[in-house]
Amino acid sequence: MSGYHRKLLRVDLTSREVRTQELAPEITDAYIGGAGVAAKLLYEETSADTDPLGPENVFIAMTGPFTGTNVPSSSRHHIVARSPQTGIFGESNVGGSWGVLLKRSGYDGLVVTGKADKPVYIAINEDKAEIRDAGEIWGQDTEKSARWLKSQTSPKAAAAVIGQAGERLAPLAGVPHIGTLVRAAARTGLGAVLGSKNLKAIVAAGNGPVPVADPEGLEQSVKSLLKHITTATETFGKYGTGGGAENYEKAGNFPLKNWKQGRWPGVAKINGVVLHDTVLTGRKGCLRCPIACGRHIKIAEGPYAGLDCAGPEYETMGTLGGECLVDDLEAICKANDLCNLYGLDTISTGATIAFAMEAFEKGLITTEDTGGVELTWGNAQAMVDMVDKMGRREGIGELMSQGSRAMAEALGHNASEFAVHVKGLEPSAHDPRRFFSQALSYGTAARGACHNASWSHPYELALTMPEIGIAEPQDAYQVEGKAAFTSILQNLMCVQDSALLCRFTQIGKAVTVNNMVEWMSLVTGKQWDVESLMKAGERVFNLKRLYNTRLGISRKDDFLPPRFMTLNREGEELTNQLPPMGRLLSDYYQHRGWSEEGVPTSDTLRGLGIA
Amino acid sequence: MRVELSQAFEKLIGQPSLEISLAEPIPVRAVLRLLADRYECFAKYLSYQDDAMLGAHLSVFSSGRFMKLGDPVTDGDTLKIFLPVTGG
Repeated sequence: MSGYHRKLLRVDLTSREVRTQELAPEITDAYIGGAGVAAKLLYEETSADTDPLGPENVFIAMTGPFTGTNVPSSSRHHIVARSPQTGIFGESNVGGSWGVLLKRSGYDGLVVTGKADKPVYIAINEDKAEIRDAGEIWGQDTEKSARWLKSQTSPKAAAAVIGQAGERLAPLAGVPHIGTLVRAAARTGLGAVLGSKNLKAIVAAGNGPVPVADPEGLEQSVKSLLKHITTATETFGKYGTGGGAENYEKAGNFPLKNWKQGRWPGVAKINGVVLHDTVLTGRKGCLRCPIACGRHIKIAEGPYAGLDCAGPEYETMGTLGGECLVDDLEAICKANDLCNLYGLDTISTGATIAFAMEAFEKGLITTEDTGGVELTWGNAQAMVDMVDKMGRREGIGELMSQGSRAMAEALGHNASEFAVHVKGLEPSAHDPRRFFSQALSYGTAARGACHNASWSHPYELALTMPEIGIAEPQDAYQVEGKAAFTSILQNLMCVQDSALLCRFTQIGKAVTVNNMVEWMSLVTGKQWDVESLMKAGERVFNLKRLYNTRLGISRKDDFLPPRFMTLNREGEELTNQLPPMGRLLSDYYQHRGWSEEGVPTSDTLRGLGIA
Repeated sequence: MRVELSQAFEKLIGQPSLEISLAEPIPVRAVLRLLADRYECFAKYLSYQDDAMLGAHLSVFSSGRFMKLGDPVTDGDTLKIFLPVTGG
């Protein structure tokens, strides 16, 4: 079957063994690739006893059948490991060029085990992989490291590289990927997993062919849709992900003051339109992406003069900006750059700083703790200073780099009341009091409070996908039917993360599920249909849940934090309501075929072919 | 009826809001047509017959609610027009 090389690269850093492993068709038939195959491998190769920072943890990077083909916006891959931030299933999906260069090297994925006795990097090029010394760049930021790594391999290479945060095992450390642009697989602390293995970077630089069953058919299909995709995503590409920030504030979706405040005029200063009109120097797209939502910015004067780097996206504006009430876009650009350089997740970093600001306001931390910094709402420089401390793990930054759950536990008193996370992961910048599907998604996503697990809020506003039963947008506050609605979209996102297709292709119905089915058949040579594809997505979602239930996760962990369950925000025209999580979860478990405790039943698993 | 515009649209027409008198309720689609009659920059939005397609380029809110093309608008309403809902 095409779409795959049928080869995984396995690297054991303890024994320094490098070998290949067959990727069997039965696995890809059931789990597609990407997130699905990675979840299957992690489930089989780790256990409840696996220490996330121990050599026994397994780091997996998987491409999908679309990666490296003509399918638009498919230059992506998925990384997984047991998370040091949450302790459960850890995953992050990322674009750029690294996944394509790995696949062009002749591998569908990479599995790293063990721990090197000194800092190393893995160089992968044209069916060849080596473990090399990284002593020269240990302690360096991601940008300097990537420059050196390219000089040692190929100028066209892409590096998955950790910064100081990952080296120092910060649970909020992500894995920036630096090729022609910077993209971060930031969530769930997988940068610390690489750090624990003394693995500074993984460099991919292949240029070989990617197998496609019907290349002419695929080219024709993609060509016929390309103009439509470009037109449908024109506005999104122009202003980037942050273009709709004002809109989201108006809708009551934008996070403010650690999710406490209802309205904020400051959003008019920190959105994609302002960025477009002030500091933007160009758009950056992942390889062969017609949307190009990435930003490049330059700042010529002021306290952050000289900044010339990737610009912040919506989630970053929401967390480092809105959550902290910082309305200084250039400060957000600076903090975003520091996160990329240290290798920190901007979402959890911003959310944890907002939590710390509230703790400061309540007197649970003081200037003695912060090193003299007045950690007050809206203090832009204080926000930037905290990112710096978190990246270095210095002073209070050591505690903050563990995230809001760990920080609340350390502070005691009532801090857990305002620590906003699910299963240890801070939410992205979408309010579950505005979109009940996101309340369910935050509660049930394998990695914790993740909007991308369902990407359902656009389907509560305008989007439709009739071929999977969403003929009309569903009212955001509707409870009846919310479980089925959210589950379907979670299954679809598992398909996209396994085949590897960017979520933004759904904007304006640019790409439909029927397109995905057609491309899957053209790429792999196997006949897929909507039902088989969605069943695979459901299988992937359930397997991730099974990973977590093996660790003791159940209904008790699926509730939202007190702030979302009990606090109604106030503000003009704000129509937020508190999500009825008990009812939503009960409906959801029933729809999923899970027990009332939220555990997939043996019948459900058998039906999916997992048991 | 009052129409308030977010930054991107304000720049296009040179003012943050405008008033339109309505003798009777009309759908959002018809409001866009009235806007296009006054300002050419709105004309391109008339080609989108479907909320999902229009929603990729422009969003209309009233009383904190996302409005669909067929939703009725009355003279006392305030519509807010924004760039589309996006997010990361």
